[in-house]
Amino acid sequence: MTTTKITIEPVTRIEGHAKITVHMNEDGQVDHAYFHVNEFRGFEKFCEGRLVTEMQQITPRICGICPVSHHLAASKAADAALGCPPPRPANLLRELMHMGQIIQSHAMHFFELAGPDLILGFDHDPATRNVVGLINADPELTLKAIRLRKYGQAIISELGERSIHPMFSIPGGVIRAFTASGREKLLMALDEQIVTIQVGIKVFKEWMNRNMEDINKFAVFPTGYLGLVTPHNSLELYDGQIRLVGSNGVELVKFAPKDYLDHIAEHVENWSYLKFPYYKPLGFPDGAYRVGPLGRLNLVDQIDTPLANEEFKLFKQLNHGLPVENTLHYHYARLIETLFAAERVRVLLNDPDILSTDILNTRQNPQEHGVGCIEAPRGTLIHDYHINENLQLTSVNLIVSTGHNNYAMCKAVDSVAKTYVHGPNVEEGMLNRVEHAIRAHDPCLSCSTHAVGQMPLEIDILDPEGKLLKVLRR
Amino acid sequence: MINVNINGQIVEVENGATILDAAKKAGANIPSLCHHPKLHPYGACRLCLVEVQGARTLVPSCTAPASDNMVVLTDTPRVKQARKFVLSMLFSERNHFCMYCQATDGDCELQNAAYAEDMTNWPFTPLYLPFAIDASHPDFILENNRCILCRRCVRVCGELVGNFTLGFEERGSASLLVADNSIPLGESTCISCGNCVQFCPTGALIDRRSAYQGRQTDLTHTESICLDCALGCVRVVLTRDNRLVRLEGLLDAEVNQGLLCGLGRYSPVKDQRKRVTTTMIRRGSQLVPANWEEALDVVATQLKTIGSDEISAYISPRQSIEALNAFVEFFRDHLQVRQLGLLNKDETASVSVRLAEEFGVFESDVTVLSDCDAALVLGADLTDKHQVAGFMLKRQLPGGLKLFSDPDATKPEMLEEFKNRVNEWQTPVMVLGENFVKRSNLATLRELIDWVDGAHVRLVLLKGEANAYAAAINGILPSDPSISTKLAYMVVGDHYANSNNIASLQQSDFKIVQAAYQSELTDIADVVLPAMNWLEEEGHYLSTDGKLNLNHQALQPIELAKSTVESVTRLATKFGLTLTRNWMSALTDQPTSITLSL
Amino acid sequence: MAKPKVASDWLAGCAGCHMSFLDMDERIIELTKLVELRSTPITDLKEPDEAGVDVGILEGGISNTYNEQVAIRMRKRSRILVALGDCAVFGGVPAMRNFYGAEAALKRAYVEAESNDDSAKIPSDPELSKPVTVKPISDLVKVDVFLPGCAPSADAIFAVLADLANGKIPEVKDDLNDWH
Repeated sequence: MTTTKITIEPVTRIEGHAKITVHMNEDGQVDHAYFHVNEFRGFEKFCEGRLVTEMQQITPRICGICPVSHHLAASKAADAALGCPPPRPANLLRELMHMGQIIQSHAMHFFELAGPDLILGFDHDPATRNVVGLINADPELTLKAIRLRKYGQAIISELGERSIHPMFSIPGGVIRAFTASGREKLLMALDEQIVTIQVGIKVFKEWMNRNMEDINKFAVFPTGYLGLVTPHNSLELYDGQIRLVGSNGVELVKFAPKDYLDHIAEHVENWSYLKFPYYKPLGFPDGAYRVGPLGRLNLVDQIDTPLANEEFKLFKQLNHGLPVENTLHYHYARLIETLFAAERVRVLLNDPDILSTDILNTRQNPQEHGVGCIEAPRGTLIHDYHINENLQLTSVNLIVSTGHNNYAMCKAVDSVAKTYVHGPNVEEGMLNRVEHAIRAHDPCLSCSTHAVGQMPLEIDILDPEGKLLKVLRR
Repeated sequence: MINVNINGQIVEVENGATILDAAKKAGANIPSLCHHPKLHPYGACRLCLVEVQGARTLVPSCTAPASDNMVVLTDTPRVKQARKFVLSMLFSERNHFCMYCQATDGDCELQNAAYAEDMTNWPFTPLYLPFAIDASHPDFILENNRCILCRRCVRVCGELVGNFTLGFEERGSASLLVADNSIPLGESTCISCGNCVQFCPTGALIDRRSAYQGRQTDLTHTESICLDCALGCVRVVLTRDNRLVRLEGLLDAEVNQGLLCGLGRYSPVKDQRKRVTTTMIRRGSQLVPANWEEALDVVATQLKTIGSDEISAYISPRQSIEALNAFVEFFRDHLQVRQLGLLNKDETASVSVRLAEEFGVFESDVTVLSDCDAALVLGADLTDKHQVAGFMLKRQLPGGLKLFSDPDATKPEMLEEFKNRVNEWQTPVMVLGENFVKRSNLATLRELIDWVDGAHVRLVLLKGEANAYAAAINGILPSDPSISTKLAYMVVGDHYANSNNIASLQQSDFKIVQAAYQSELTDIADVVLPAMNWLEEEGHYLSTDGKLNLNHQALQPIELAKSTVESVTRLATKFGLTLTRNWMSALTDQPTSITLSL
Repeated sequence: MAKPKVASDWLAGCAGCHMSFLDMDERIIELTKLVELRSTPITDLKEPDEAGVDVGILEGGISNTYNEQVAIRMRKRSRILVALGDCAVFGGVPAMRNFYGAEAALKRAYVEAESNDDSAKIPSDPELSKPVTVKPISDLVKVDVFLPGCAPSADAIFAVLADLANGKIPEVKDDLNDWH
């Protein structure tokens, strides 16, 4: 059976470079779709020989949207490798910076990256289906969204001098104490952000009610779910143990991040630079799992902050207490996490230790090996360092957030292509939905391949003999 | 004197001054990288090129001597273009990654030079040939990718420290900074003084412990005195958020001229001892927390009950003169305690006071060591303590200094030879230390000083550590660990406890220890009083050559620690006493072997 | 007169420069009054207008054959080309791969990594581009404006775009010139 190939290049409104190829059969149905991640930089190799004390400044350059995740994961891995656990105030400050990042990244994704699809519509004119189009369509909402992202960035720059690639955390703690005036500034602006997040949730729910059919047929499939949890299995983004639940929501395993190699392996496919992590005992692809907002909300029992927990209870009802499998509910989960992060900011700002100057442990007891783990906005991030006696890196392994979702994204692309793309007239809106299959996961492809790339979108529609029928370009 | 025209302005400078000197005087800013005010001009980087009327090519202003009526132009388009070209070549030669460098955004002179020329890119892309990182040294890292071959480090190590560990191998673009015969720094003859790191203009030499903790402008700078020996080197204490970050030598300090030795630079940042955080009293076999009032009451009761000849009181030479003063007044003048001891067995200070009674002034300033043509170092190991004095001598070896060294004072024939040959030299010096200057050696010492009186030799006595001299002038001599008493009161402060100190304490039944850090001394004490360390307690210090210096407070003390002055004063109130002794006049009460500058 | 058209793209970078662009926050509204944003990674037009744009902005350096094509196309279709950020201007952190070479880096990630299972191999599908020596954009195409920084500040990006929108070539110096 001959197939024709549609290439979507680049996938836009995501971080990083991706290309989708949709292979269609003679009946105009989708036979199979592939999600290719096209670029590769090589941090795991070129960091060899560098000092482990430099990694929290080098690895943020893996990604400009979530540099703080790398900044902190690298610090935690170095804390472990150098045997210098930070004092409590330093951990509070690191977590505060992390919450700032969750807020800015999730806010940007919902409103500015995914938002145009939801608020303006999947089939809206591509020339204005973007943040500028949003500004024109609903300036008030967009301004609120911009200020929400700005708030998240302000937390980061208040602590680390700049919002992108900050200077703040080092092995053993942080370098700069927080000031009373900085704290005051952040507290005063917090309520407004919580209101904005709740507006976002309302916007999503209104969209959900109008689009239930799509929600239930757009990339809905079972997987496991993986992420960090507190000892009581509450939502946890900064520290804790890794928990994996099966597609029925039942815990399969819980382990300390440093033991990740006992439980997680990575599969390589020839057609993508992004590897496929999976749960070893179940093999690949049965051991595939999802991370990030949907993954995390599917594996926790509760959220420890009140407003987010109320919303979480509603979320849990979507599939009667079982894990929510609908890819489009990533957006809902993302907003609930943003609410949690904002509430967590208040808790941290009110902690009596937040202004302490006891922020750096300089006593080191080098161990040769250290693993640092954190929940980046997009999922579980693992930095694994081996060092020599001079504290230089001899080997680096990074499993980066979006990578865990690779199987899910591929499956989503395939599923959405098969559901929505029908020949012989393939419309632009259909292809946008296929891209949205990726977009909903909020992938960070720079991170996950430790690389970045991008390609334009051009669709060549060929007949079974390979003759060019039509070219769709964006 | 000669007249030089800098950009139309005439300045008068000494004959032999460089064009750069003249430009500085005229207020014209010529950028440079390899140049440093404490080092001989080198001419490596070529960033300081200027136009000189009548010269065919551009001239390096740092090395070229100015001449009378020379006309110099420092900011012409030709000069600006040359600067940009020099910088472009520098960036293309190695691998400069500003983004994550520890020196970026303020502390890199190369980056600042590029900004000053408004450079926004590199006209020549590097070849990306990787250069080695030498991370074998425990205190700092050599990152060859960032080296601009200015050789400031080599020049400091040779010209100023006199150690000559660092050098360059190969030529051209293969030139590489190496230690000794190209072996890892951590295994080389490097003495870990860290001066190369302080002088490095880029991120090629990076201090490990302070990396990323802040730019120079983020840190608080406090001048203080190094207490690890008695030279009185001035250290700049760099702190942030009440935390010690790094120590540097003060460039314009008279004694050390910007240098520090490894002890002075690194022992405080390597200090892993745990603080004493609360007052403690022994109940049975345990030390239990108490409060200051309780503890002082216990101490006072003991002191009042036990007779003064059954009491011994000790103090660390690291304590300030104000602390020594309160200690002397309370224990000796008021309580009449006879057994007062210094927690240090170096007798040089006390012997010098004894000799001064007979001979008056017979010593010279330490700075004479920087300019001599022959030196005898007798009874002092300048590679261990007083290292900066050692630097002053070692760096003159290439210039022909005749150096005689007998650190353990076991070669009387060397002293004889030196004395016999003394007229061969114009500016001979003798440096005497603890292994020679002892009470048991008084006869030889008297003979020597008599002889020095007639000869043109300058004498320098190295008087132990920190305030050992001030202690000696106040009559506090090194403690005798064999003395056994009913009560010992030990003002330890931040002193590093040694076996003699422990032996002294063990000889007493009731032990009171005033200390900043936990040690075997606090472990066996009956009362422990939390003390401040040198960063927290401000006070005066007398250097070995009689200079009075102030150690400024650099950190806020931990919650319950008290200064020695305050704790002794509060103890004194339990006896109804007010302490009034004037430490300044106490210093001038005694004859001293060198004129004090107070 | 029509607003100047601006297009951007990212190569071997981390997206941080585009995030810094978004850090101009509310000023983006003011900016969209001055310029028309065409293809960018966060809009849905997939390539710069064939008819050309006034300002082309590239973040990230050249690290593979695909980046080369994108850079050449952006240069061709832009009147003024801006190299945005340290990666585009200098090569940046990704240029550290040059010390080891792409082959060794690929081997480490796809063959040697401790987490790889026995499917470990270097991906070689023709849909994927080939790595090349990492280099600044200016090694390949002529750049008109360099704005270094990792990332350059939102203020600097706004100032440069505002100048370009007004037909001025910006002077990148003092507060706008920051390499770190």
